Amino acid sequence: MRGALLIFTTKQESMYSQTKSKRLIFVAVTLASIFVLPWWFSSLLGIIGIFLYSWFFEVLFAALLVDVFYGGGETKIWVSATLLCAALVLTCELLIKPSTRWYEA
Amino acid sequence: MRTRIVAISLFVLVSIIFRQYLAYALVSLGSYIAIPIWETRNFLMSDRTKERNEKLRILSLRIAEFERTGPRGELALILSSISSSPYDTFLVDRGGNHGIAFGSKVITESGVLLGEVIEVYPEISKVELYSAFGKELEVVLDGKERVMVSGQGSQNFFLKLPEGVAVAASSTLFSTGEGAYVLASVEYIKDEPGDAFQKIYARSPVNIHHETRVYVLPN
Repeated sequence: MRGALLIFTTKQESMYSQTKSKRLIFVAVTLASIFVLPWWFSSLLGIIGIFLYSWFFEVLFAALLVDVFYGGGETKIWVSATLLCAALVLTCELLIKPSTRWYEA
Repeated sequence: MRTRIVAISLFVLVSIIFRQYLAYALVSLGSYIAIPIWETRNFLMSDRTKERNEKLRILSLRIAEFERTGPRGELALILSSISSSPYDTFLVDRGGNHGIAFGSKVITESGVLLGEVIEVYPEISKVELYSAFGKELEVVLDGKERVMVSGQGSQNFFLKLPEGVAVAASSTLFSTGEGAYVLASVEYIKDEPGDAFQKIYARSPVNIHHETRVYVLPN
């Protein structure tokens, strides 16, 4: 019983570390795409990440980077449009995802 | 879930309130990582022989121009692609350390007015195109009337003028003040009967996506 539990725990940890490394790679690709690829492609990656991973808060940092690197110089709230959009999509994901059948807490 | 929503709201609020400080810190530090990425990208995307010939051509042009008129402005390399920016902005490799000031006008090598510097950092500067959506600018139409144009994004402009003002599809919009640089040329005029105004659509004569260098004029 103890052995089976140990195997189960090790398997779980291995799966967790695999998911974690995949997530890290995905975040790195998303962040790099901000500087290299068109903005719509980075946005697409961000949206995919939000629905692929649980609590994908990294998208907020990516949106902040887009705003500070490319945003206009005027002190209007709309200079942070990307960040606001990312926050809105992330909030929607938090509200919608628990009611979907493929959701894992 | 509620904690996460509060965390998102706090992050957004703090980011908006302290945007200027965050921008200065992130861009100043981030440029040390971003500049090599942009330079590698530009290097990989360019044809090396073409690039070398282009450099020689620009150098000879600069020498000829310098001999004729003196220095024109600071020659700057475009770092970030305009397609990477959702705000019609791009970054150039000249900053406060090179004498670039806020509000300096930016022109192409062929003398077409593009935009102005909106943020200056030690090593890089941010340029916003005059065609950025919602941006308004006073220009001279065919060297006669002064009119207001509004940016529509992607190097497009829109004007609304009374019926009496003479405009042709070949009309050109120039900047005001010294230099009178070309900003855009009229592409289409929508003149409907019964409408007191004519709607004019203009476009910049250069494609910014093909430009690699710009001049930042002294302010």
